[in-house]
Amino acid sequence: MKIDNTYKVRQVAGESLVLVQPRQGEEMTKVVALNETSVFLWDSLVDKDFVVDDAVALLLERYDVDRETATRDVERWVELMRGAGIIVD
Amino acid sequence: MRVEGPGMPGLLREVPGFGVFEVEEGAGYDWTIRMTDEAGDATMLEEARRRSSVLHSFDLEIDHSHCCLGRDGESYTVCIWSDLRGSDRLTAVCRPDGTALMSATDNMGWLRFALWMVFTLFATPKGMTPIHASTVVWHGKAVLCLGESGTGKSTHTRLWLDNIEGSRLLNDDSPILCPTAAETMVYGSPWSGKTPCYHNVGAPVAAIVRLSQAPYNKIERLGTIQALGALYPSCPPALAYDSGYTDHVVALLGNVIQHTPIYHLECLPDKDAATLCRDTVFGKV
Repeated sequence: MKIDNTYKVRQVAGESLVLVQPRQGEEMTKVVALNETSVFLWDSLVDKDFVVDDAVALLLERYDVDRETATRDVERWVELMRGAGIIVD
Repeated sequence: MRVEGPGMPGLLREVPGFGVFEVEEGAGYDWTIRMTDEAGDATMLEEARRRSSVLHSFDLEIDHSHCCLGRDGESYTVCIWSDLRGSDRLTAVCRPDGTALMSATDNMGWLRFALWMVFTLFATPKGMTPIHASTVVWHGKAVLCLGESGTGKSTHTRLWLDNIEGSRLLNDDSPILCPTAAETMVYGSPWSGKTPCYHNVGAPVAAIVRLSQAPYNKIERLGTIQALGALYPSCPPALAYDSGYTDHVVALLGNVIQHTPIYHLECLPDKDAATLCRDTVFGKV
């Protein structure tokens, strides 16, 4: 999977946000807010083809977290980002 | 903005809304649009149009017309055509130096819209943008009402005018939003939708309110993220297809959000909705 490189993280009033244009049948622009960890994953993985384990390894290296928690968090992150159309196959 | 070419500026004085914005010759201007009916210019415009990569195509509400925004290097192209007008076409090229070349047209609807597009393309990088809003001014401060088409923006501002003494309409469709270092300003414009409401004045913005229809009246202030989500869809939609313009719009809205409260008003089309909105924005009187 990879982060669709048409998306961009933008700083607005102290928040890191991604604007997702409405797809067919949707009305409103979605604003996805990224927390610090999500920005870290984004910056590390953008322009790369990656799997869940790559993201887990990044979290284990950077944060004091066990593998089980990191895996669960990454799976949740991927699910949310896929749902928003930001992560694609 | 200076518009020159055959019939200008007399022609523009005949387009509803533009007259009150006319300034004295020599007053200074940031941007120049040259209208042209010369064959050499027509060739140049056509070549720029053909070279352009399409950013976004969309339908206009006038004369079965369509508009295409394109990019040709550092320049942007605007092309308007109609199912009813054969090969007739209006093409404009906006260059980064603040000059534009535009084909002369006898279609006033096209001219109005093309000038709106060109203004938008020039103004947004300078930190101001047209915003799709019906705007009232009360006690010298403006409230902008946003919402999808058909939500009742004009209906809501009409309720202000009918029920809140001293309120008046600044613009009903596309005022100019302009954040400064200290506050957000809004200005009238020659583009006011179906309501002829053209005022060459500005006012500090007290609040921006996104409306949605509901079987009750309820208003809440939005945090940063929701506020951006509320404002962004009301900025010129075609710009969202260009990364550079999206940067400009988002930066501008970031400034707006820092100075100006943004609300979501779920409302009925009644007097209480207008009163609730006023009391929330200005405090109970």
